[in-house]
Amino acid sequence: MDLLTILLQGLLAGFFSCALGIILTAPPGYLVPVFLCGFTGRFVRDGLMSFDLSLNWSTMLAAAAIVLVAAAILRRHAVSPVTLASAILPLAASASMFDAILALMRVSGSTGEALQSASVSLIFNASKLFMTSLAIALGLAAGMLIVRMIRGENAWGSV
Amino acid sequence: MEAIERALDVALIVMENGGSTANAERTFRNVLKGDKHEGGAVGWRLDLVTVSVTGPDQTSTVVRAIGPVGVNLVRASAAVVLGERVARGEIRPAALPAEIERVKALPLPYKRGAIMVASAFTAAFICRLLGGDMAAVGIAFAAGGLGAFFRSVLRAMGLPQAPLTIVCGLVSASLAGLGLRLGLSSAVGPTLVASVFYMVPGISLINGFLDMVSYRHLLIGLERIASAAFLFLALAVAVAFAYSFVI
Repeated sequence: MDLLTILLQGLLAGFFSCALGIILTAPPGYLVPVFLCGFTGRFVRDGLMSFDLSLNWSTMLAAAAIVLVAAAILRRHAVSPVTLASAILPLAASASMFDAILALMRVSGSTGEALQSASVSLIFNASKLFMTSLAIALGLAAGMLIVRMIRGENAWGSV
Repeated sequence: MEAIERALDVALIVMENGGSTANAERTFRNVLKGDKHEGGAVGWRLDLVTVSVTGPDQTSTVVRAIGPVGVNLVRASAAVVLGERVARGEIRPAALPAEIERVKALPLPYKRGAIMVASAFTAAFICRLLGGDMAAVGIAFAAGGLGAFFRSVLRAMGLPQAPLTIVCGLVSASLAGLGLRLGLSSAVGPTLVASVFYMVPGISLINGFLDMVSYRHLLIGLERIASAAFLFLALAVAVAFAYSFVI
């Protein structure tokens, strides 16, 4: 993936996060941080993947980067749940979730080779979904641990 | 006990408007601090909160029901700030009821039209991120926007969250399925998933996660994640229904 594509994907993720922030009723002052965090997450993930780092490691580091950027740019340097919620979703394995659901539907109504193929697809997509979600959770936890070590009990933002 | 009730009044605004449990508890403690009250042990659930205070002779427990949890983060934020001001002594306990009413009356920061447009763009952007072509982006944009309009109408009629998610998910995913059925795009997966993305329970999910990693709110964290998982399942059913309509 070239730098221009990575930048464009990052911008799309930033705009997506911003729109999601509006749906989640984030106060207007939070929309720019939400955009920057959304951009950072996708940019870091795609950038690391372009250096041949695996999807899971890249996702974990991107999730941690989102927390650190949020804490760095938000007022009072606190972690804001709405910023995290809006910025993390572009990293989620949404396509795998959809494919896993479709495979699950096929498994219940197939026989023979079709059943084998659907089962393999179900296992593959479910494991990808699980691993990506785990990577996000670990990345968030690592990022919050760092913020908490620096900020102590006052690590949380008001929204 | 009056101080506890007052502190709960403010903390419940945080909970009922999508704030995290950590923020609700911090607000509760801040208001008590302003009242020069030591407080007690607090147990949070999605439907109620209990506070136990041990005195010299007896232990008293206050139980308060938590109303339906919606999302108005401006209100949640204002309640947190109110708690901080009470703790700093800027607002006296006697003035608190009026302040609580002011916070409760705060409207949503965005009008219905803005939320509809944001929903449409959310669907369009995520569709593109998932690899959809421009036609798929257009379908997702229309399906997300119309679904969000339908959701605002049903919400105004007082439909609860779960049926609201299922019905609006079906509407959005079916509209996207119709566009795909008409042959406007061949990107089935990205279009269908993106069309319902505006209903992803992001706040429940992230608050649940934050509660769980805090170790202090494990039970309510599990409740929030289970609630989000149920809504995800409802959206998955809607997408699966639309998929069977497309093929």
